[in-house]
Amino acid sequence: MELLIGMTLISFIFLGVITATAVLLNSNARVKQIDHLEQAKNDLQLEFSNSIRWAKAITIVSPSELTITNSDSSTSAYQLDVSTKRIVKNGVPITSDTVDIMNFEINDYSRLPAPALRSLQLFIEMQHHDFSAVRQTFRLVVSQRVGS
Amino acid sequence: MRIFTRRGFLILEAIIAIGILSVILVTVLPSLSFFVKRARRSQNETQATLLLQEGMEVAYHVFSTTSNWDLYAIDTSYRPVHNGMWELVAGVDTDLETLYTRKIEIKAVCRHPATSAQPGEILDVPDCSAAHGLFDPTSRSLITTVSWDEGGTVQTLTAKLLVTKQLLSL
Repeated sequence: MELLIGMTLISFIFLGVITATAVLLNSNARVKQIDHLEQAKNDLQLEFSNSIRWAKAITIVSPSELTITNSDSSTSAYQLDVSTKRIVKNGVPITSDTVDIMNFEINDYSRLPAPALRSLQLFIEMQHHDFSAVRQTFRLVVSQRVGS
Repeated sequence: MRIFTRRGFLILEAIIAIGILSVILVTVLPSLSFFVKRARRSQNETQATLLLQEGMEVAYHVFSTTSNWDLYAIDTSYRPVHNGMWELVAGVDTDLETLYTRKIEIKAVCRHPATSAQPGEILDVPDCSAAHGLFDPTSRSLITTVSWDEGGTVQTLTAKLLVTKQLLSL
């Protein structure tokens, strides 16, 4: 009887340790996946904030395509490549292949018609390439600055 | 008698194992809780920063495209809205993303009377007239504040933006 109780308790303890280890490993993997999305979010925030703020001219080609004339007169064309699910700048991906961009939407809420200063709201929906349950959505508002 | 000793030994082993496990759980669980709280706080701060930036960007856009700043009363709180275009309406945003409160306050800018030594330097004082300053009608201070409750503690992020009509060419 005591042997049975002992074995049961040991089984419970063993199961508990196995479960705890699995939870820790899984949460570690989840944290890494969330980090990938956070990194992509920070990169996009920095990229769009700088380019829109200091743009000479901004043209919204389509609801998911934006062309910016930079202060050095070079041009940056941003769009969502639906086949690779990555945002590209002049054809070059600026988001990692571990992150799928599911939606990229540009809204122009400027108060005056172009070529006056623009104020854009970008809506970006992303998920991890391997784990679709890890996803993030964010809204970014950037206004063009005077004298840019 | 020897059989009795063996029985006791098994129970003792089980008690010791449970004791060790309890000690481990008691030590590890608060640490896990701490990490979870820290991760949540970091996520909340990131989201609050985005809302703060949104408020600042909208306020800048409104003030940089409006010549009549008298439309926006000094010492009043506003919130950004859009109906095809950005606008500031009196009030405070509550329950943003079900957690955050945001307000944009318009403040007058007190400056030192222009002299050759100090041409209109900003005076950061509670009473402008007592400091012999003058309110500058061509400048405004736009203060955006985002606050949220985190486990019973109110967290706040604030950003201040100075706009002047001379620089905006209005």
